[in-house]
Amino acid sequence: MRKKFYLVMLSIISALLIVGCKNNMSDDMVVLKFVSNAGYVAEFEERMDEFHELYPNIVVEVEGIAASSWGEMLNTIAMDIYAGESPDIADIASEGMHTFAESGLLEPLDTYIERDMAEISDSLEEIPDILRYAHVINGVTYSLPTVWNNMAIYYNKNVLTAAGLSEPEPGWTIEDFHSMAQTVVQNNTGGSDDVYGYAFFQNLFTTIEPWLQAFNTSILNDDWTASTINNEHAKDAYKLLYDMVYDTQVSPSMGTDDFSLFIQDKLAFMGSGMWYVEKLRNNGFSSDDYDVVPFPSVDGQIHSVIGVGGMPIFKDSEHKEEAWKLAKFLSSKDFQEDFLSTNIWAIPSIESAALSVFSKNFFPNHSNVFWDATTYGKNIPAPASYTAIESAVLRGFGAYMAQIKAISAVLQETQDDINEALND
Amino acid sequence: MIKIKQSKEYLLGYLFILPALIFFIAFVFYPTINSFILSLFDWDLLSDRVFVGFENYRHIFEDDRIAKIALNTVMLATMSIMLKLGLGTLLAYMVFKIKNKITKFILEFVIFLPVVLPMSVISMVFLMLFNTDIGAINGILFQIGLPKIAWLTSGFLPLVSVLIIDVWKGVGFFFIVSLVAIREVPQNLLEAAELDGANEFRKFVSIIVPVIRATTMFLVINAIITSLQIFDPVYMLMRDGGPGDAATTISYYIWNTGLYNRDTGYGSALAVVLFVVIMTITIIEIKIRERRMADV
Repeated sequence: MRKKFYLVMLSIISALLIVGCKNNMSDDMVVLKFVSNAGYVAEFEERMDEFHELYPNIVVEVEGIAASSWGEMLNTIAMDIYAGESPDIADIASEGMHTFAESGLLEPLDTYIERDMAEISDSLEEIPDILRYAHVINGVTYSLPTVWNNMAIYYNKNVLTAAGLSEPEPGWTIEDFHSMAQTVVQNNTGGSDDVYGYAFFQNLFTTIEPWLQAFNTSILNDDWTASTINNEHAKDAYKLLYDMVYDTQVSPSMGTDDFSLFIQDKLAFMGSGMWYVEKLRNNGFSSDDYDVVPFPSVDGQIHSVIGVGGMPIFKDSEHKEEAWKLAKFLSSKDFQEDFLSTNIWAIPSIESAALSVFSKNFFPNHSNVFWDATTYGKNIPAPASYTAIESAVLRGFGAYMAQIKAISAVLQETQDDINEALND
Repeated sequence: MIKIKQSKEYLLGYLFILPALIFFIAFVFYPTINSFILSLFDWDLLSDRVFVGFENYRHIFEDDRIAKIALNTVMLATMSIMLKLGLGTLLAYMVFKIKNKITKFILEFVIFLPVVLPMSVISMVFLMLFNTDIGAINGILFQIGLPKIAWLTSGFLPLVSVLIIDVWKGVGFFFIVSLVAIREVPQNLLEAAELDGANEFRKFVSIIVPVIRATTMFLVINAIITSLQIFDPVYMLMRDGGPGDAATTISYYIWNTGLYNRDTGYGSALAVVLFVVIMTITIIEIKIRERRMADV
């Protein structure tokens, strides 16, 4: 009897608590679910109070996804959607935009943009076309750009000086690069004091695509409908990376932490986006000791691979208008100018905001290399089947670098696997 | 009256197992059935499912990666079991022979410690140790005049690296279970052997190993089941299962196909096949145990 009494009382108290909690939120209050990579949640959360002040009836819940790659990020969102927990809006990069857009999960934004053009035109005018239209798929805009990144070569001035080399300049060739790297390693003995010319990871965005571009090719054709990677230029690009490890030995084995070597003055060159500037500062490595330059190329032309972030709104969202307000806020000049003031992991899409970031005193002298990429850079080829394509490229490249397969077999298999993924 | 009492007892029994039953249905039975259903569809998590019948199963026979991945898995499982069993039993006997209680306790603690450490932490540590140019292992090899080894990026070595981690982490379990079994070995057998002049090796081979074979059998069967599911070190040590699938195991391939590349139907078909293999091994294990019990 007593047990029954306790059970009834417990149920009543629980019901009252639930009702009480619900009543705390007024009926016209909208809660937006905003999904981002877990690493950036703090920055977004910091600015959401500001958004709430502008729109007091909208509360933004920032949900972080702990993912080590864009593929994992996309799949977590996909599973949320399948479970009926679709976000209203999410922070998605080029690598995932096509996947969601072509699955019909994103809200087209052209009518919103047209309607609010007067309000957002100031910001849009300052966004270069390559970023502004990065998320326009089949003529439909699915997101405005927020931040972006591109690839450049970081060079260690101390290492170059010790080897008697001068600093590289835009327009340098692969021959220049390889020759400088060889000069750097000429006194190596195989011991722990060895210095390396260049270190790289098995990564599509930071290694493979930039070097393919340097040889005037890519994993896909220009309209991303087929792979043409089985060509002589790609063969040369793969061979260069292979030779740097096994032949001229200017590189340590693939996957060696380039950053650690760089800050110990044991590495001349490393490829990275702007995110290493902040990391170098945090590790006490002065911008007087390094600088940046575009990737070298086979013919002296300048290339750069670009990835652009955006905030698409999901079709399943019941609060599309509110989500659009948040999208505008995140893409606005005011937001972008201060957003990356503490942890600079990407470049604002709005020129004035980007230039204010680059003017900070811990940036290297030639930081314009990053922004200049908007004039010559190319978006990372990322069609809907990006994760399968990335897997195919890394699998083949890894097999070649591990001396498991010959270059011609690797490129043929990679091309076949990519084309199968594109047609699947 | 007795019947009412009996049915009340039954009811109480069912109530006791109810939480476990709910857990089993929600997290084992339903996902298993759902995996089989998913394996009959072509689905990328985002678009509508398309029924394809047994097409995904047929695709397994056409997949030119599967033979290497299956071979990797079998080789890894075989080597892992042999090494864990050999080392675990040997270490257990050595510790059993130590008289000093403090030394014994320290050794038991040190050998068992990796079992309770998270695989992610272990993998991160080994990732640094295995680095070709700045890793400690190659540093030692260099100091003694041996060439550097590309542990994670060359030929079959990524698989060896995964094996080393798996054995290092798992040997403690074999050790502790074997130690308990060795403690149960009748002392008079060992004493009699000693009087007959048997050395430690002879005692280990001729007495310890045969007497603890029931425990060994249990360890082997369980190890086969867990070894076929090795995933964490492959995921943590290298992207995409190592160069050219050098260390890709079947569990990693299922994850990579079904979740990372969102070919959910094919990934589920692979999972169902693995399930059937493990289920068969488990049934064999149960039958062997039943026969042994009957013999006793």
